[in-house]
Amino acid sequence: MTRWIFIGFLFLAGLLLVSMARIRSSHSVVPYFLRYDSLALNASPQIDIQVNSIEKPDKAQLEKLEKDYIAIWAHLNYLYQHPNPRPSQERFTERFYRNLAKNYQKGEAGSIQRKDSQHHLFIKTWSRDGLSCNLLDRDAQLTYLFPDGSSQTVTATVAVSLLFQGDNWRLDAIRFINETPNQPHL
Amino acid sequence: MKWYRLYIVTAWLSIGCSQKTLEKPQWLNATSSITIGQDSLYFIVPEANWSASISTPVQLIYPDLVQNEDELVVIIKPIGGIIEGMAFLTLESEENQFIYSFQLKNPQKVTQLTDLRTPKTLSTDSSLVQQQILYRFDDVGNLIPLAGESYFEEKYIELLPETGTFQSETGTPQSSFYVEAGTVVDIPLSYSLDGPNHQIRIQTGPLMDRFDNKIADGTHILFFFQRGDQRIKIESVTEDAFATLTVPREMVANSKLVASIAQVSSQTLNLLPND
Amino acid sequence: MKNQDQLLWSEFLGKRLLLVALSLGLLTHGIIIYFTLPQTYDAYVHMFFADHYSRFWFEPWEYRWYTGFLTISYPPLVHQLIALISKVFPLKIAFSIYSIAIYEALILGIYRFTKMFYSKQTAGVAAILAVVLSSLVETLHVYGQVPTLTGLAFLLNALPFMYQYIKSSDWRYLLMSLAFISVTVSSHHVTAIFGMVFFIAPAILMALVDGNPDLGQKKLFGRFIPDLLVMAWKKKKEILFFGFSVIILTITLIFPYWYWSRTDPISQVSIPHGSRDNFLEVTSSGLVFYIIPLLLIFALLPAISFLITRKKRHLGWAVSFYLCLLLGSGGTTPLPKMMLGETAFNILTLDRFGFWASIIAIPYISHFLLAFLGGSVKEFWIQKFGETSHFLILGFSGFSYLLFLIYIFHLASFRPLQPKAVAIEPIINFLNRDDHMRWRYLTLGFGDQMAWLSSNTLAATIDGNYHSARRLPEMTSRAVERLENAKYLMEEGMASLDDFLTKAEKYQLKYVFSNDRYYDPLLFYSGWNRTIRLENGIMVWEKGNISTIQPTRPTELNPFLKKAWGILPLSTLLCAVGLTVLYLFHFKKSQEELVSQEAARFFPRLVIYPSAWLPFILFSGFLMYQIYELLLVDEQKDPTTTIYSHFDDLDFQRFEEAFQFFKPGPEYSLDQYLLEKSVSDGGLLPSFAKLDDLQIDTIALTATAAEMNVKSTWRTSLGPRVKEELMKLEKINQHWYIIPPKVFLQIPEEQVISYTYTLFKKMGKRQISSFPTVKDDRIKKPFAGFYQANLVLVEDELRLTGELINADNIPITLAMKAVVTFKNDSSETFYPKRSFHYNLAPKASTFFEIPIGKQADSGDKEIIDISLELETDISERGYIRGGELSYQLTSDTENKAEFEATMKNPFTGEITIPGVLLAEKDASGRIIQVDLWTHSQSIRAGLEGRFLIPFQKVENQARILEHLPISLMINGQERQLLDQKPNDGFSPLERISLLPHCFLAQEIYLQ
Repeated sequence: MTRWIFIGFLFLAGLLLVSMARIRSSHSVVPYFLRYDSLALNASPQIDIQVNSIEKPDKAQLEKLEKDYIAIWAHLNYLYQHPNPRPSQERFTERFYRNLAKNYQKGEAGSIQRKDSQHHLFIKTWSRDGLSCNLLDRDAQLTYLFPDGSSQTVTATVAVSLLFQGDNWRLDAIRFINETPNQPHL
Repeated sequence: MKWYRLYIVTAWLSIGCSQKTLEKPQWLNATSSITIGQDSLYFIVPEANWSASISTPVQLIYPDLVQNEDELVVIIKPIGGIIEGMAFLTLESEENQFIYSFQLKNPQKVTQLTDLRTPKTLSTDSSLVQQQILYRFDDVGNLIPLAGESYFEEKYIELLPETGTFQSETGTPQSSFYVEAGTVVDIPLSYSLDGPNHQIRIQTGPLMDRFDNKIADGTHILFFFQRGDQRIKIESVTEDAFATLTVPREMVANSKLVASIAQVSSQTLNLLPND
Repeated sequence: MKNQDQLLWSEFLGKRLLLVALSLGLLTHGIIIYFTLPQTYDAYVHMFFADHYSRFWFEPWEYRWYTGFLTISYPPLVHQLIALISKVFPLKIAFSIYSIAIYEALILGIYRFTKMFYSKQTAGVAAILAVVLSSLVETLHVYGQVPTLTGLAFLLNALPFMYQYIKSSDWRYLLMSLAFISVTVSSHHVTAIFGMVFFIAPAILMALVDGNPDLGQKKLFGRFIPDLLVMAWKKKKEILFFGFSVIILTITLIFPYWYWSRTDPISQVSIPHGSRDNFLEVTSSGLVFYIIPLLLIFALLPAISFLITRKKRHLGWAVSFYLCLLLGSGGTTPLPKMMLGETAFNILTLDRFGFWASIIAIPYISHFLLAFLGGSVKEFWIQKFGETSHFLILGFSGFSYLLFLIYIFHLASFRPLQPKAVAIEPIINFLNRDDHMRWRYLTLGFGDQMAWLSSNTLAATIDGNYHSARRLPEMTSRAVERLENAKYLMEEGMASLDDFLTKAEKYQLKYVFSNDRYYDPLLFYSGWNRTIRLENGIMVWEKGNISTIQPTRPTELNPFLKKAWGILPLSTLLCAVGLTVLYLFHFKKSQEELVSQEAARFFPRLVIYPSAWLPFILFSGFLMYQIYELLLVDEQKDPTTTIYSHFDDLDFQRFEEAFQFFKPGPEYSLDQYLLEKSVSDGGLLPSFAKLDDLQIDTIALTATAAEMNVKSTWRTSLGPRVKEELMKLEKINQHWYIIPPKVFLQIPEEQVISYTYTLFKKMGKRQISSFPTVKDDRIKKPFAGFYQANLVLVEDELRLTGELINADNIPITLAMKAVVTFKNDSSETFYPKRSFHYNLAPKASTFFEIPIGKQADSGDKEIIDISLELETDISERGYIRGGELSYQLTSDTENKAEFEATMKNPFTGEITIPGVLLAEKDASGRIIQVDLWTHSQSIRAGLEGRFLIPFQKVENQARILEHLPISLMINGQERQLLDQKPNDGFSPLERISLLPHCFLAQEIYLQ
């Protein structure tokens, strides 16, 4: 008899618990300082910077610019193949990001990859407060890797407008002025 | 374990057999430059299921496809625009991929000017020279050349020493800049009696900077009273270039008064010397 | 009658009693735990750890507390299990489910453990006892220590298997015991380590004695010990194999824990704990850590002592029991400290020993209870005194024990252990928006709920609730538990909190959620500003110019160890469960069940009488004492008691109760008292103070009248304050009453006051976006300038002093620090404390002083450079700093000065803490000292306060050092001193200047 009473209690308790149970998933976003940008950390193109602006950035500012510029290109190259802009949100200004988000469609990754190996930056304007930088990236070496194993390297001239927001430089506007293949693509 | 090996061989064969080589689709209206939303790409394709993607200079997008047997139409209409430049169209079917390159453009778009001013707030105490950086882009983020083919422009503008809020070239509220008054140059000081209430009303002003602009509201002003060994400090703030203070007569009669703002002091005033 | 009793008990065989116990446990604890857990000490901490594992199972780095710590500092199994359950149920429910499941396992463990000692019936009674044992109830419902209960549950389940292994050498029992011990090790390392000594060793001894029936007959000081050793030698293989296996399991299963202990050992000042107090002096500690868990044991100590010394098989248990009882007495005697050594004594919490004593006592208590309920003791009693008296004594004892248990469940109501529950959702919303998570926060006045907040947010706090993992020097160098209850930790606590609030930049601490006004003055004078009041009443304080937390690599652990930490502990449980199923279905039935045949058929009268009466006497006595303390104690029996009681009520803001101590009469009503209080009270005392000490001296005393000098010392966040007052009392009808003091209130001349405030509003981010602030919304760094900066040596201590001005047209908030570089290239940063205005109106100036302390004038620690760095930011708040200050130097000697000052309040709200910043200057006008003085009483609107300001001069001991250059940096740019200096127009120039520096509690800016 006692055994059945005990089982009865367990059954009631179990019923109560089951009614409350549901799979709980967490949607929390990890804070900024815990996010590791593996794309940026794994990128290492060669960069040299020439300052042609009236206001000159100091050494620390140039180092930061270089580091963030590499990261921006790492994300541009990633976006080139994977259309979801979410992982790259920290690298773009809001207006630039919003358009990418508008265009986003879920789908397979693209088969063409792009890698950057060299950039020659000419800083055209630098704001006094160090929050705006406009530059020309001349002779940027971009390599396209095609699914058939072939590749094409182009020399590109890119006008880039950067704004410093939060803790890093972000891409605000860009213009691919030209991309000239170094050799014809066979 | 023999059945296991047989299974592997059969699977490999079936995979191998399913892969067939297709002929490269023929691009009927091949061109070096395509404008999205306006131009469509027409292809003759082998009969199969085709998918397409376009690698634009910044983002991968998926165009719409209309297929009718061996005719394929690729329609590019992203919701926003795209970053213009060299693009690659990839047509894919049954493990076969074919790539076509062209320049991709947006149709005529509204452009926006950015006018960045540094510093945004200037003071008549210091330099009124302001840096202005201009650049223009469309709503997608493509830089547009300014007049003169350059993408960026930098100017240095000397502003008038007149306080106020001013609009930049874009005219947006966010891009406005400000000229603030500097430090006061002189502190006129006077007092009057408020007979019925036995109080003294002390007034300073008008408080102006060196360019005759009224100093900012809320500027801290200190009133120092000294009568023998007794000292009184009263802190107040200015409003509309004046500061007034009302104190009981017996508190300050026969005392000396100096008003100070930062390192600028008024003349010493003797309050009711005969009291 | 005899047969009937036997029938009664024969119906309730051990297993049925066990089932009853399990059902009872489920019904009582299963329901109550959900309601008691918010009031426990540790439940939220364990939930926080569980939350960690539910988010980051294989990553032991927990960044949310301190500046990050490794969760390998605590065995993970309990937390991992709660984490798994929390995947399906909310965290609190998951904790409750886990707690009740473990309690059921514990009941089972106690049942099986008792079978080693006595019969199944006794074991069944033990299981029932486990449901109602005060030590277990307290551990669960007051402490919330589920790992302790988990470790114990599995240890007790392991012991019978170990016992059978020693006796029979059957490897299957070894496997079972090791499986359960593995779970113990993975749950609670302390139980595993000390369990060896206090549980396993006695069980081995018991097995050895039981394995040789003759051994038990030998004389204790004769052949017993040598023969025991012989027996142990015979079983050496089993014992050594078992021992080594346990050691290997203990090391390997939680190897990362040992690795952490070795590589990052605890090196902090001992944190005081109530279990180490002398319980005769600190009776509150004695109550919680000794009386409540052990009262039943003390009541039945005669019976326990009789049974535990009756046979030699219990020898080990006797040693363990009495040793634990002694160690659990804390600092009441010097013996525990001598036995454990000073280090262990100061690290361990000693209540766990008392707890273990109560567990060891369970079989003996149960056996006696069984005898009393239906055995030989009952027979004796009925024969002697009759059935009715037996029934009555049973009933009264049981009922008083039940009341005692109810008292434990409601302990939190009588002695609040936690502040009132805080709704955390508004705080979480605040942290989630506008990138607030880029900085650290601190909670004040939350109690252990701070761990609950941490469990529900990904934001990081500088505080924490797991003291062994702390490594921040500001915490480890002081005997403090948590920052958030600093006010209870006296000077050390407040000093530690002061450090963090001052050096907020060092730890990127930007937000303080304050649930206790006590800390308001400290926050304000340390440069914190009130921002908003959340919907749950919590005030958010913010400090300006704090940099964000930068991405840093956490302390790395070998990936293999991380995986092991995430897999092995859980595997032990799965292994134990699997083996148990195998054991039950394939092995158990073929074995002789472990049930001891021992039964005490006779109890001496010296045992029966005290053991029969003591429970009733002790429990009833205890409860009556509590009732007496709460309701019946005469708080007005003499003038001193009256005053103490009155102040006690004042301290806890029980004004109605405090009023009852005034002489009754129509001329002084409660309404009048409360009105007078509302207008005269205010300021540091008593609005932001806690009563620390009361010294009452009798001036005059007759039969009906008394005059007492009362000196009250109050703890405030700005330091202690003393108030002295004369109180007159009168005796009416055997009770003493305080004559209400005459309150002389100032009356303002005006009936209506007006004051024009100039308020500023920082628009902040005008673009409504979750992205960081755009360039056009970035506000410029306001201008500031230094009038002077001096390095001053006063005796052998250095300080940086000076004066600066807000040169801008907007109010600003300042952050200042001095970076001192030494000869050996190291540097140290110093911050101003309270001798500084952290907020300045446009064109307002302030003095400052940064204490640098004693520094070497030669060698590696010789100062070679000092950089004084100032950061400014726009402030909307806190720049109204005081009223109209009038002062006169009334005394000026070589070392001291005194001012007679008057401060008039022109504002529409009260000046809550009138304060003055004093700067002492040398003959050239260079500042050599800056100090803050505050007054204890507030100044109401339209009124003035008069006070005497004492000031200790350093003119004769101070020397300005000019050989060390001081570089000035403002907003990261190098600056020079301003050319022009302020001129106050006083003649002669002041040698001691005063500026108002007041705290206005009224939230003028928050409308």
